[in-house]
Amino acid sequence: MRGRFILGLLALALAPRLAVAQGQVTLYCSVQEEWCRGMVTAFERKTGIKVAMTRKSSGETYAQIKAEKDNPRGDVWWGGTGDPHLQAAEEGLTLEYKSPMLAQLHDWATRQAEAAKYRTVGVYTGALGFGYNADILAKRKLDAPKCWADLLDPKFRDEVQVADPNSSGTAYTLLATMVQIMGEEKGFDYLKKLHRNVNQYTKSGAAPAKAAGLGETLVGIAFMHDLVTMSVEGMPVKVVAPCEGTGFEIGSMSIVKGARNLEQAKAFYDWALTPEAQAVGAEQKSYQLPSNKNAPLPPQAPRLTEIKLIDYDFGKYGASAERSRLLSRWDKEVKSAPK
Amino acid sequence: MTEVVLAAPPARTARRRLSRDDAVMAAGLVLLAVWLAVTVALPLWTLLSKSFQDHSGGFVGLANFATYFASPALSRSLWNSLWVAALTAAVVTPLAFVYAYALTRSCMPAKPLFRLLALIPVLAPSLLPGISFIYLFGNQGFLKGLLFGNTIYGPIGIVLAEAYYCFPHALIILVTALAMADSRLYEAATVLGASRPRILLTVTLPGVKYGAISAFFVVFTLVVTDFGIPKVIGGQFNVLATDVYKQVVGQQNFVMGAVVGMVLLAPALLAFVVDRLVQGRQVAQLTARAVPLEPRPKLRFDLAMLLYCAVVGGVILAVLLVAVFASFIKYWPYNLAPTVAHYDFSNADASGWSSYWNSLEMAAFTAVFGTAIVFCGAWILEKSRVLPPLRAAVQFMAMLPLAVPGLVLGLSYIFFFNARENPLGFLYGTLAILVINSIAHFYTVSHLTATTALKQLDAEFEAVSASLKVPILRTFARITVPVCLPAILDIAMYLFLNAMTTVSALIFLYSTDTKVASIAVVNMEDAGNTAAAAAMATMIVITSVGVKLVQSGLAALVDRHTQAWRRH
Repeated sequence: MRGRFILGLLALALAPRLAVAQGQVTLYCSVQEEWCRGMVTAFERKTGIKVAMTRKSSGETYAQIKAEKDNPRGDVWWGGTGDPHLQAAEEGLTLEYKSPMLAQLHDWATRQAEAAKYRTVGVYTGALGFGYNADILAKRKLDAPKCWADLLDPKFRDEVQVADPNSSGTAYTLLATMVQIMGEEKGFDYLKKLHRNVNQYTKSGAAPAKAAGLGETLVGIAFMHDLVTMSVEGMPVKVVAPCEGTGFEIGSMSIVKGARNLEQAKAFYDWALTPEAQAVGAEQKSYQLPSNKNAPLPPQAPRLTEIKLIDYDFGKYGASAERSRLLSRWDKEVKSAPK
Repeated sequence: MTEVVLAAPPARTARRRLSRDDAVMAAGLVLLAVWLAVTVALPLWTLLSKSFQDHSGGFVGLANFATYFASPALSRSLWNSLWVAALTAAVVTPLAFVYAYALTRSCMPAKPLFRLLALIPVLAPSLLPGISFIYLFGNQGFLKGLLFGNTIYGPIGIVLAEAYYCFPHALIILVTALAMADSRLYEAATVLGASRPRILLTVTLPGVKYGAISAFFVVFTLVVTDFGIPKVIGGQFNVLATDVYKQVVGQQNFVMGAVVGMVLLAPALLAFVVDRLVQGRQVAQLTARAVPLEPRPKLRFDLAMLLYCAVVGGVILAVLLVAVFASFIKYWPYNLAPTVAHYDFSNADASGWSSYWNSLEMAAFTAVFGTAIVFCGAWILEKSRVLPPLRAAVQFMAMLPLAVPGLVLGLSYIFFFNARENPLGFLYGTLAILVINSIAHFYTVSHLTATTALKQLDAEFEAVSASLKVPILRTFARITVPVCLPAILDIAMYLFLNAMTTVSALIFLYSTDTKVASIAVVNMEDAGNTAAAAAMATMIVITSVGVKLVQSGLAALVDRHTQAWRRH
């Protein structure tokens, strides 16, 4: 009796506060909080559709969508690195949709859509790079690193920080980039040598950027836009586009299969690909590059034209089988190597 | 045969006399079993059963476990988890024991203050000590030299931060264990000429054995399952809890995540077995004839205790203050100019204040309902002797939540409550599910506290009541609850504070309307806004301190009204 009574009481007291508004859409957002909220406000103002947004990292959002598969609650998943989106597409968790906006997008964004049978699309991109703390570099009287190869210099022993590819998409991008630039054997050779200079493999991909800002590490390998954010915040971080070329991520967007508010979800999807929607990021100090060709480029953003980008094969390296193979090889040969 | 027949009649009378009470207890036990099954066991099963399946859901037996144990990375994580947890528990239990001893058995001044100081680590989101330890001992830290060239990012940092975070959890159990004692035992010992150390060894320690062992295992299990601290300060030092995160969030691999989740249950199982073994030997401290122990002033002892508490409490406070300091400076470590800009949440989080109110509401409901369920549950388990197999099962379910990382619990709740066929599906996305989840998540320590308090009450109270034909429920309301009120308030406080600061399970369960402040803290930290995160965390601390002060006032009032018997 007591249990049921309490349950009843709970239910009464905290009755579901579902807004039964005319139009609403549930958004799972995987970029920074401010950017997420900027998107919500702009979309609500534009369309009058009410947005119920929750923010989680892309790995967490993927886990949630997968756990909710039998009874989906989310409508649109916007933002976050591309691999979990591709993975969700591969598993049929997301819906095929060809937005009329596709024609206005850069090639890299539509290629992402094609690779996923139109179950996802690119909304922004950012290149991988590294940043160094200029104060500490000056104090140690070291030369500024310019290339990936420079990071192997024994002078940087225990001065480089990068995430663990097992927990971070950013670090997996580094792994896949090295394999694509140098070939698998030489790529792993590079990572093994780099291992000697790594002070720690963090859990989160953006952590090395933060650590470089705070002076907890001299060099942090991360996405360049995260590093730019640090220097815009006033920290002495210099951002480097490595001379050998580099890989990049494609921040993506997908519609959840079984979405309860499909019309509104599509409205959000189309809107998120407009130049207007893609200008929101820079206003919120996020300096990724937008996927719409007509969207304004944030002046602080690292230009893709000034960065040597490799022809990153998202289809191959995003597939789960290849990913687990590379990760277990990394675990065996790099992570457990003596320093 | 004859003997049985002969013995039967008196036994039957006795049984008849107790039968109504037995029925009440059995009904309560069944309800408790259902509650724990629905909020703990069944949700967990939906996720952990995946450890026996392949990626498409087919049954594969133990194949996943074989794969997992074959990888060298696991055995390392397992070993890391075990020794870090054992070391932390070995450090924290004695530290907390002496502190609890000072709070309960000395006449030092300012006890309420020291109680409050010791609670600070649960007042703050676990992110806070992480930030503090990095500012103190990180590569740019003030006290970096104290580490003699060792790095804080790794086992040292984990043990330090975990010890900080687990201290109050151990303390609450130990204070309860030490609070009740029969002064006749001490008088007898003194009269017999036993020395102080000897009294400690032969009277005090045996009396709190159950509490001390519970505290050790609680700390051990908390460390094994905690994910936040190893993530912030653990560097590349891998433990089981971070492996779950890597598998599920990093590699989208639910199956392996479930395998690690199962491995994590092993310490809970161990704790459960030890708990059973110890329980049999624990004798009630407070027999019906007991004369409660009243500490008498002993100048040197009281001074020593005061000094000890001042040092430990001071360290705890200092760590908090570092984080508070972090929220008031412009840019660590470049610009140490003071500023209040980080407290302007309006640009960092427009929903800042609504999430703050949600937190308060959620924590209040968790404290009220959680305490009621936990205390009644512990009482039923403790005082009933009906349905032994069900009792054991319930006991185990009560120990389980401690061993479950929040991430696993959160995902389990999605699988279970969001299933189409679940009639409780309407709870999904509401504040109620956050409350239920928090009660489940923090069940174990609350349960152990309640059990420790109840164990010290003599079964004679019930026996006498029963022979006077007082219904057992009235005994509960008139004797048990009033006597245990201090512990009950402690449990309510514990649940409230944890609900204010917990993140890992709620991140999967909150909806736009039920966002809580602790999630706002994590989001700000994720965005690189450490100072704003520290500021929001400081607001949580201030709230918690406020609530704690109200509770202390209430406790003093309750004390005057219900605990007078302790003083005669």
